[in-house]
Amino acid sequence: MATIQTIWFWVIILLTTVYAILDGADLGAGILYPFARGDSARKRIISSVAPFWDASEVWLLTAVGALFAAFPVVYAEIFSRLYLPMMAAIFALIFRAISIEFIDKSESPAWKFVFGAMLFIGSALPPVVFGMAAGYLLCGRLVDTFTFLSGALVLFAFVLHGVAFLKVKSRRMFLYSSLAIVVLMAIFGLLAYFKASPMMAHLSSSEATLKTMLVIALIGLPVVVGYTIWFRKAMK
Amino acid sequence: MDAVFLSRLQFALTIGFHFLFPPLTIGLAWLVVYFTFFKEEVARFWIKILTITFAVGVATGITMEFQFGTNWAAYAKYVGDVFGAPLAIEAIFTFFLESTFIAVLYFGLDRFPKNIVRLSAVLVAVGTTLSAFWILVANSWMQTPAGFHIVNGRAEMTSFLDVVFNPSMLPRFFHTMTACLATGAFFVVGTSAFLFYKNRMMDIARASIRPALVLAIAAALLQGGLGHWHAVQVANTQPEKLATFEGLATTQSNAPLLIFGVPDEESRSVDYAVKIPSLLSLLVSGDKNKVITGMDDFEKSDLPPFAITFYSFHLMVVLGFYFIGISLLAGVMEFFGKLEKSRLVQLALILTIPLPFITNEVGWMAAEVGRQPWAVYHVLKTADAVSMNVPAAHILATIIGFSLTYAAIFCVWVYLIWRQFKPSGSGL
Repeated sequence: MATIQTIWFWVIILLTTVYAILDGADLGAGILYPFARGDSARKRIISSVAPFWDASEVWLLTAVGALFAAFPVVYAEIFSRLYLPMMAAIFALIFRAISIEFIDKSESPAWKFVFGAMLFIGSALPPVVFGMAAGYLLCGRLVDTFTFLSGALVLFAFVLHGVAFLKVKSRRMFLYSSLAIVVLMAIFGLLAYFKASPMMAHLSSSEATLKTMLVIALIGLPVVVGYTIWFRKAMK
Repeated sequence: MDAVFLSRLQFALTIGFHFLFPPLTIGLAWLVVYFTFFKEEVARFWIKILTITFAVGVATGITMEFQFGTNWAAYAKYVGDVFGAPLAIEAIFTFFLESTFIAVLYFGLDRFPKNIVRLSAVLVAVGTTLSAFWILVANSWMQTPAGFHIVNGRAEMTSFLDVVFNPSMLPRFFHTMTACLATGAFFVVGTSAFLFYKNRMMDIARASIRPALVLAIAAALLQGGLGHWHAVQVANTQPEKLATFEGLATTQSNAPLLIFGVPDEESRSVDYAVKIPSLLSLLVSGDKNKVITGMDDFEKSDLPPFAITFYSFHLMVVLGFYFIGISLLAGVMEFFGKLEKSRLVQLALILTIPLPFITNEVGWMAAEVGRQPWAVYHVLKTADAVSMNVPAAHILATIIGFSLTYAAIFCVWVYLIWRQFKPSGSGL
């Protein structure tokens, strides 16, 4: 790949990694919700996720938008070939969004049950789909032991990450699980890079677009990182 | 049913539903800015409603970004070089901004100093507006593509500025933004009128209705001019769309403006037409002798569907005039201090609440159905834009899924909003 293409490849990996760290925590917490005992434990899960899940999810939207803009053919092929899994992820993310926002708007047990179930499904399904999609990209088959294992691995990683996130007193544990995610993403990035780079050189947008986008990202992302850090600190 | 039809149906369904919420969010966001500065006692109330609506917009917005890849893979490959960029910019510059600062606004209301809350309100409003800007850049480019050339069977960007400021961008942005402001304004006016009507939470209603009414009047009046500007642009850039909007069967000078009529899909003519002579020519060009191209000058296969485009356009125009009338009426009543007592006008304002939403939907239908048979005008046909490898049955399954999910979400949204206006004032 040309330099600018390589840069965009790794920018997309980076955006996905930030997504996995930030929303991985939210999704992990959502998976743990039904296993939390008692009202106050459950309320605490919601209140630790509610201010953040939306901004976390934007990292995914940005990664997907960047993939679309930088490698349109790759974006189109992955998303159309994985039509049903991707749709399942969309439905799940819709469920997750709605349930976090609305679950504490009523105290009725039926309301809590329905939205609690939606939160669990909506949080557990995306990591499985994204893990399987990653496996599919590496091995080329959707129904395959490797693909399933990769889905299970991401699910497992997010659950652990969610546990670490909810243990407010243990910053270090969250740091470790974040590091684990970085390592996983780096392995995936390297494998994908060596597998796909000869092909992807022909599948990218034009150099002019890639350069324009890079300027935009270099201006925009530092600002985003700045206020994200401010907000996360301020809400502690 | 084929995959093209189903993918179009799914896109219409998902974006049609999504598009109910962002206009209200944008309109409310600007009113919340006003409230946080000048009417702090009601800011909290409207921030709650803003947040509930924003959440539904976010939840249903995810679908849109994935769908270009899942259902419109050929489109994504063909235009990704041009279309992907505005979408990525939207994510980087606006999604982060609005999602972070709406959380500051909602969760930080009691935690942060007043000025941080105000700044957050401004940033949310700016974020939602910029978000509309970039998605309308992408949409306008599909209507009036510019700043690109075709290389190796796909569009490549030649000028970023020409892509952004393509010929329909500015009229469409201001027209749509004004519609968003009107949606938020009529919502606040209508719900405040409801509170008057029920003699409930009168302090909130009294403090809210005036600024909202001013915004409603301003937006409704402004829309007359902006809508005209946009229509003139359509006449210049997409003549077959204008001919279909106006039901102009044949090319002619002194083209009349149709006030009423029943379109006939087959013959592309209008029955029971009531017309004002020469007015269309005059409106489009300022010259009543100007020749306007009619539908007969185009191949039938290049024309958009007639009846649906015609009806949605005309319903939008009629409702636009209605908004001017009702907002002025309510404004005069309020000016003379009579609105709080006039149950009839209150009732009219309550019944007006859904109308801006309907207007947004039909306006969008007129614009997008009127673009057919093209996905990108004169560049890429809709039929050539879909994913070739997705079976129709899969699309049908997800259409059913979206219908059920969205219907449920709509009910929950209505219920939660409704609860805010109940006597107990709700809890959360």
